[in-house]
Amino acid sequence: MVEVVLWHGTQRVRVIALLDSGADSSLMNAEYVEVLGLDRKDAVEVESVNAGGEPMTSLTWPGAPLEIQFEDARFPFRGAFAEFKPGDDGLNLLGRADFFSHHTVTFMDAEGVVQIDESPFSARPPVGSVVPTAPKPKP
Amino acid sequence: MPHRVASSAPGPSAQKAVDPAVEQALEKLKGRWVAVLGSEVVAVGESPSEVIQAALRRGVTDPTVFQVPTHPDHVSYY
Repeated sequence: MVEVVLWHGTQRVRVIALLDSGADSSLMNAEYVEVLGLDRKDAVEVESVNAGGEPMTSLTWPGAPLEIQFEDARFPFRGAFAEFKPGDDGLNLLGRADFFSHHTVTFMDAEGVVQIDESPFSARPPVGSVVPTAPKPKP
Repeated sequence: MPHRVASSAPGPSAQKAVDPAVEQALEKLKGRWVAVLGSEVVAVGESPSEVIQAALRRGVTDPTVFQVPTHPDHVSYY
């Protein structure tokens, strides 16, 4: 488990999530959507299957400024929010489409340690920064 | 500087997602929503918004908010 912050614009919630390299994308408990100020009426429902092969409904907000922050790194959230059944453990998962695209994760089972580094392939300016552009060549 | 997350053998630079001191308190709160700050469970409730409001009333503005897993294997992740 790692601690991350989910952002929607200026609203945020600090959560814990399981690193899941087997998950195509991140999956957060839909109970957080109210805290983040997301309106369920605007959600797009996606039918998928969980790790156990059972069908489940997930919610996405295409176009919403959703982000994940891990330590100082903040990057777009590419996942969905899952409506877990009562009694299910609504574990948040960090998957490949966002978290693992920005970090290199090394599981050292013998030592009982997971090492997380920023991926050298995801270097980018902080969200909201002004990126200088090269001047256009004169004709 | 790499970030290290330990599950069983924390070293000098390792840390857990949830303070180990909280683990025992969480054992009694399986299935409930909690707001945790450092080594203290500052609020317990039935939804994230409920525990965030309760934490705010105690002056805690940035707790970690999650539902305590009920499955024994999941609890061990802490």
